[in-house]
Order: sequence, then structure tokens, then C-alpha cells
Amino acid sequence: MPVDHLPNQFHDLDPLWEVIIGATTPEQLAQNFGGHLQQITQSKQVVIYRFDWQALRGVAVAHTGEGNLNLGESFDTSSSSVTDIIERLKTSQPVVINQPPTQRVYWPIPINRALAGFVALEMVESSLSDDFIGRLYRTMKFFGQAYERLTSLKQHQSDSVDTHLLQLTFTSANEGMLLLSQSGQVVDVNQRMLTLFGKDHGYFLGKKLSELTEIFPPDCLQLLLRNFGFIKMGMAITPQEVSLIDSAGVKRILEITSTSLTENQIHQGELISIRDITYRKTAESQAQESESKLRQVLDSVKEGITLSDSSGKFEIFNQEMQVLTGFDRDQANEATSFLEMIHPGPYTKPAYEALNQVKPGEKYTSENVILDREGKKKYVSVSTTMLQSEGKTYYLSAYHDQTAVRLAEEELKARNQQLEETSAQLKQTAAQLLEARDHLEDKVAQKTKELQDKVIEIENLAKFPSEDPFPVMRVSSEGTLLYANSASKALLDTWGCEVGKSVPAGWANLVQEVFESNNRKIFESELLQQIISFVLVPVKSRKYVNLYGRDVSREKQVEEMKNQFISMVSHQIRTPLTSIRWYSEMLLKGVAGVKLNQQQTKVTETIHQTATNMSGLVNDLLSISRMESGVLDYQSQQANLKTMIDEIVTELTPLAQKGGVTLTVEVDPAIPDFKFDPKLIREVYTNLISNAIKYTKKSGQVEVLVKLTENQVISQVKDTGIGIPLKAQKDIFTRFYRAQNAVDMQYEGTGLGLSVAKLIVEKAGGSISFESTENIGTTFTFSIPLTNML
Amino acid sequence: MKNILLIEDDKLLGEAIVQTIKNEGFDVFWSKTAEEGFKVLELQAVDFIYLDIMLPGEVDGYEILRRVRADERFKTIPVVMLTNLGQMSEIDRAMELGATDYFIKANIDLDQLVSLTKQRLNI
Repeated sequence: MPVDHLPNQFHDLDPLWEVIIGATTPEQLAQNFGGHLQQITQSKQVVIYRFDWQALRGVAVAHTGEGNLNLGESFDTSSSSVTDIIERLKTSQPVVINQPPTQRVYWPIPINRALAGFVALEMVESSLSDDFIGRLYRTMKFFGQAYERLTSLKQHQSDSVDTHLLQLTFTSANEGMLLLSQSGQVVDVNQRMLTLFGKDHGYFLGKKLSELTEIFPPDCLQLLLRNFGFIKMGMAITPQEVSLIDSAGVKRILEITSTSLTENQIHQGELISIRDITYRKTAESQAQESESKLRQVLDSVKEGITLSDSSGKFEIFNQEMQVLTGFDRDQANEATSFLEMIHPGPYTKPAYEALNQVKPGEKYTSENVILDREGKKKYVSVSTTMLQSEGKTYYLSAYHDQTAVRLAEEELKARNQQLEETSAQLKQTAAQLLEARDHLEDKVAQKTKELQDKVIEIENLAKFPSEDPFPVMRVSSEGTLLYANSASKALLDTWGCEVGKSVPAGWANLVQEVFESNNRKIFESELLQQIISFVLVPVKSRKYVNLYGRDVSREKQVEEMKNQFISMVSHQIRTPLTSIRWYSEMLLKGVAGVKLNQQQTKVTETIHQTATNMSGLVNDLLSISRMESGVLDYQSQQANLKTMIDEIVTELTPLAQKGGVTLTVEVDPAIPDFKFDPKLIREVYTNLISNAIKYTKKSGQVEVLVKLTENQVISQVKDTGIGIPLKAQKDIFTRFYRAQNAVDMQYEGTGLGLSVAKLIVEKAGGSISFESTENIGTTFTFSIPLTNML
Repeated sequence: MKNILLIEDDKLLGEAIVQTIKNEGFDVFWSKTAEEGFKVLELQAVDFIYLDIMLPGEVDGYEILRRVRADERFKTIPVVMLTNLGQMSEIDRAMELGATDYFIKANIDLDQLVSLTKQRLNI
């Protein structure tokens, strides 16, 4: 029964799909091709499968067992090429169709010498698998005993189906095959072998292996021979690689497999199969190169890169990762849990978390700590990506060593902490300082208030000089004007001076003199019709001299007027007095042409004496007025004391004579000329001596003694007069005082003389004293210092 | 015989002095004004001059003194101021101008005047 026409699905298939028609059952197909079958359709007679397995692709048709399969009708005859192929196959020869990159082989399957079907195989070189031949043989098996036939390797060709099939298989295999006999002679060689080496059957057949020098280079031949030897001995040989130049001059790499063919444990021969793996090798080397390049890249990267599968096995473990962890890939893979090893203790959990959290296509980054092989702690940042390929999950991780950064961070943190601490301390200190400052401020405010009050007080006090209507100035000991009140302006104008500048030289000298002597001094200065009297007061500690001015113009004026008045008055009084005195004197002398009797003489004497007394009074008044004006001008000049005393004595001798008193004088001749005020000192002597004469009774004595000591002149006026009563002694120098007994003497006396004499002596720098006993006598003693002797 | 020139304007006092000096045997020329006094000086050989300070006219005793002392002819003649002015300043002035002495009339007797004059004239 002819096979039904193949259903439409078959026609839709790629015309490259070939058909396997075979007397086989679905079960048998399944047994050989297992999961590689895909049922396309089913009819009463056949079940049609598609099968696709590695290098084999095709359609499998299984006979259900009902009816006979008719080959010719099972094809679509519109395909002429198929018809041609079948015709050729009827000759029981395999047909090889080369259509790069594929190769198709058709094997005829004769059943009862009729072409029952054929096996068609399409092969793509690159997808050749290792056990291709094995598979092929097994395929062959269910088409008969071919497999067994082939393995038994009978030398003679049998036209049994199996042998033929095997033959075909052998001949058409894509690998170069060489069959050697027990003795090592070439029994058969397949087509591929011929194309590989560009030789024909004739070259090969009957030759010994060692004679195949034209195709195998010496080293290769040696290898083959050696293998042959080993095989004979029953050793299994692993496939070996050799390289040679083929007939086209192209370098090829071949994989040579030597297989022992035994039957009943007897070595029957050898099958040498040669596979051209150049392509593969190139691809391999390219792959290797790529891989190597990849490795280089991975190793040059400064991050640890790992690629591991879901079981934790590392496929990639770059150089940096080794450096980072101290382990290499193999060691990492040996560990039960590498992650736990490098992320021990508390770090394990975060490490696994990365794997748990990462989602396909996303990157999960976290930070963790690694403890390397030496136990050194490293901070890392880990970025993990999940990849999926061929149904498997991979984890790609990048480890970035952040230790340095982390350490820097930590140091920074520590520093920051320090800074914070310091800052806190500073804040505290600042707060303390602020507190102290506030405290101080209060104190300062308080003190300032006190000082201000004082300043106000001082200013008020200080106003006095500014308010003084007279000049008040302050000059430094060097002559610089330090202060001048407003009243000083006129004076400063004449000086051409102002505060800060030097005063005129004369004043500066005066100031200096006062400062150095540390004594006050009074100085009068005339200024614009005014006479200012300045008191210069030195302030040693401050190195300046204060000048307090006083307008004494009026005083001066008054004094001047007084003096003039006194002068005039004294003159006016003295003139008539002189007349009275002189005319009464003339009367007494009898010069007036008259001789007086006793009574007349007495009267006239009284007149004369009174006039004399009045003269004395006028003298005293003049002296007093001088004293009262405050200025007893003691003006020293170089003079001779003795001369003066002599004169005085001469003057007073008549008075003494009249009183009947002896007047004696003794002046030390060693007394030199020295500086004293002759006018005033004369007055002293005159006063004392005349007093002595006056208050001594008749036949008394008055002695004047003048002695010289080391630096003084001591004068004594001794009398034997009435003396001074004790009661009166304490008051004797008092102005206007006259002791009662003197009064009783009826001597006119003003009582001024002694006070004047005392004043003069003291002005001279000396002292005056007396001793007296009533009715015995008085001795006045005074001293004058010797100054500036020649 | 010594010639004494007295320049004094007070009549009473002058009279007293003149009489007293005459009694001692001196020749006295009594001028009541400065001009008169100068005339006398010119005409007479004067050995001594008594000079009052307060005089009528513009020329006072000081001036006379000054002139006398300035004049070569009269420079050496002793000049005694006879006055009743008694202020220190007056005395100083007179002495500075070259007076030989200074007496306050009210303070001396005629006797004293004579004896002092004699002393000055070294008699």
C-alpha cells in the first residue's frame, strides 16, 4: 500500500530537510532518538516526526506496521534533485551532496535488494560532536546488523546490508578515516581522507602506515606508528592534535583518534579517524584570545571582579580580587563558603543580603568589611549584578577597596570630634569669659562712676585757677609752660608763649632756681601798667613750679602814695622841728647874742629835748611805715663796720657827755670788710647805744664791744643803767612797749626802737638778745653773720 | 680859710647853719637856688658843699650833685646832703650819685653838724 501523500506540514518544511524512511516503528525511533523527535502527523500507515539533534536534522517516518512502504511515492516528485538522488541510490551507492556550509549524505537502505529507503544526513561542520561516529553507528544499528558487521571488520567485502551500510558510513563519513589491518596495512580509506590530503584511493591502499610520507609529516607519522604499537598492546589512546600543511597549502590542525578494532577480544585492526579541527582550533584560539583579553582587562582593573554561579563557584576571580582577599580562584572555589570566609562574623549577613536583594538587570551596592587571608581588615564597597544565561543565574560582583578612604573618613571623624570637643571647650571658655567680662564691666562701670565723680570734683576744684582773675601758671622744671589760666593771656602775649612752649629765659632761670632750692620765692613783674607779684611754689615730686599771680598794682600804688605822703609829711614835720631844735640849741650856746640864766637854760633845754624827741618819733614812724609795707629792704653792700661804729660813737658822744655818761668803744681790728646793710645796721647801733646812754644815770658807763667769731660779728652794748625789770623783759621787743621805769624816767621814747632793731638784725640773718638787772644795768647782744667776705 | 657852699632854700634853717659855721671860722656862701649855687661854684673856690634836696625850680639837689660830680673841676669837692627827706631810696640815690654823706637835719644838732664837717674836712 503506498504511503499516503505526505501531509501539508511536510511540504512546508525547508527543502533541506530530508526524509528518513525506514522500516522502523515509532518505538524503535524513540529508542534511538528519544527526546529529539517531534511528531508532526500521523496516518494509518505512518507516523511522521521531525527530528533535530545536533548535526542531524531530518524527518523520521515510522511505519505503523500496516501495509508496505513504497519509497518512490513518498516523495514529492517535483523536486528533481530528490529523484536524481534516488536513482543514484538505487545503484546502492551513497550520494554526497556538498553545499557549504553543509554537507548532505544519502545512504541507500536496501531491503531484499530493493531500495527500501535511504538515510539522509545533513551536517554542519562546526556542530560536529565527539561521539558522532558512535551515534551514527547506533543509528545504523536499527537498520540492520550493520554496526556489528562493521566492528567485526571482515577483510572481504560482503554485500550484506550491514557491511554495505557500514561501508557507506565509512566511506562517507565527514571525518577522514583510515582502516588498518592487523599488520598495519591500509585496508580502506574514506572519501574525506582523500579530500583532506588530495590523494586517491590508489595511493593509500595496501601501503603501510610508515609509507604514508607524502601526507603525514615525520613527527605525525611517528606518532601514528607509536599509537599503532600501543593499540596492539591493548592500550587506549587519547585523541592527539597535530598540525600540517594540506594539499592546498593551508595550515590545518587535525585531531587524530586511533581506535582499536577488536572482535572476540582479538585485535583485528585499527581505525584512525582524523578530524579537521582547524576551524574549531581557530575558534578555540580566538575564544582563548578573547578570554585572555578579558582576563587581562579583568586583571588590570583596580576592582576585584568575580563572576560566580548560584552555587558560589567562581568562574571569574581577577587579580585584584586576589590582592584584596589573599586567595586565588581555586582556593576560593575550594572553600565551603568563600563569602563567609572573607566576610566573617557580623559581616556575613550583609554579604548574603547583597545576593538576596539583587534583581536581574539591577545593581545592588553595599558596603562591607573583608578580612583577608592574613586577617587584615579592609573596607569594601560591593556592587552586585545578577545575570542570566542559558537558564542559569550568575552573580557579577565588583569589590572596591575603600580602606584608605574609610580610614581617612575615620580620621576625619576623629578630628572632627576633637574639633567639636575643642569647640565645646572654647564655647565654655567663651561663656566663662563673657561672664567674667560682665562682672568686670560692672566693676568698671562702678569704678568709672567713682572716678567720674572724682573728676567732677577735681574739675570743680581745678576751676579755681581757671577762674582766678590773676595769672596762675605751671612751668616745668625745664622751663616749659604746662598750664596757664585765661587770666594769664596778657602775660603770655608779651612773652610770645603758649602752653607747650618754653617760657622766656629769665623766667625759666627763676623757675629753675626755685625748683632746685625747693623754696618759695616772690617775684614782681610789670605788665601793662599792672604790677603782678608772683609767688613761685616748687613741686619737687612733679618736677614743676606753680606760679600764683597777684595784682599788686594798687598795693604798689598805695604804697607809693603812702611813701610819698610819708616822705612829704616827714619832710614837712621835720623842717620846723629842725628849726626848733637848732634855734633852741643856738640859744643854749649863746650864739644868738644872748646869754641865758639857769632857769632860761632849763626851759630852752626842754624845748630842745622835746624837739629832739619828736625827731626821733618821726624817724620811728618812718621805720614803722617801712616795716608795715612788708618790705624792709635789707640791702647788703660791702662796707667797713669799724668806720661806721666810729661815726656813730662820734655822733653820740655829745649826748653821752651831756648825760655825764662815759662812752667807750672797742672794735676788733680783725673784722674785715663784709656785706651788710650800713643804713640799717647803723640804726641798730644808734638805737642801742642811745638807749644805753639815755637810761644810764650820771657817772654811769656805756661800753660798746664788737668781736669777731668764725662767721659772725658779735656786738655788745653794755650799760650801768636802770635795767629792765623782770616783768617787762618778755615784752621788751614789742612795738610801742615801754617799761614803766623807762616811762618814769621821763624820757621820751616811742618804744619803737627795739622792735625795729630786732627786725633789722633778724633780716641780716642774725639774732638779738639782752640781759638785764634792775638798777644794775643792761647788756644787749646781737650778731650779724659774715657774708661774702673778701 | 675854708669855703663852704650851702644850697638851702629854707630861710630859718639856712640862717641857723650859716651862723653856726661862721662861728667856727668858715666862709659860708649861702645860695637859695641851684642857679645861685652854680654861680658861686664858678666864681669861688669851694671846699665843701652842703646840699639840700628839696629846692625850688626844676633843678633839685640830686641834679646839682650830678652836675657837680660830672664836672672835672668840682668832682673832688665833698658834698654832703642836708635834707629832711629820709627814705632809703633817697639816701641810696644820693650815695649812688656820689654824695660824700647824707644827714637828716631833724636828726642832728648843729654841734654834730660842725663836728662831722670838720671830720670830713680833716680838720
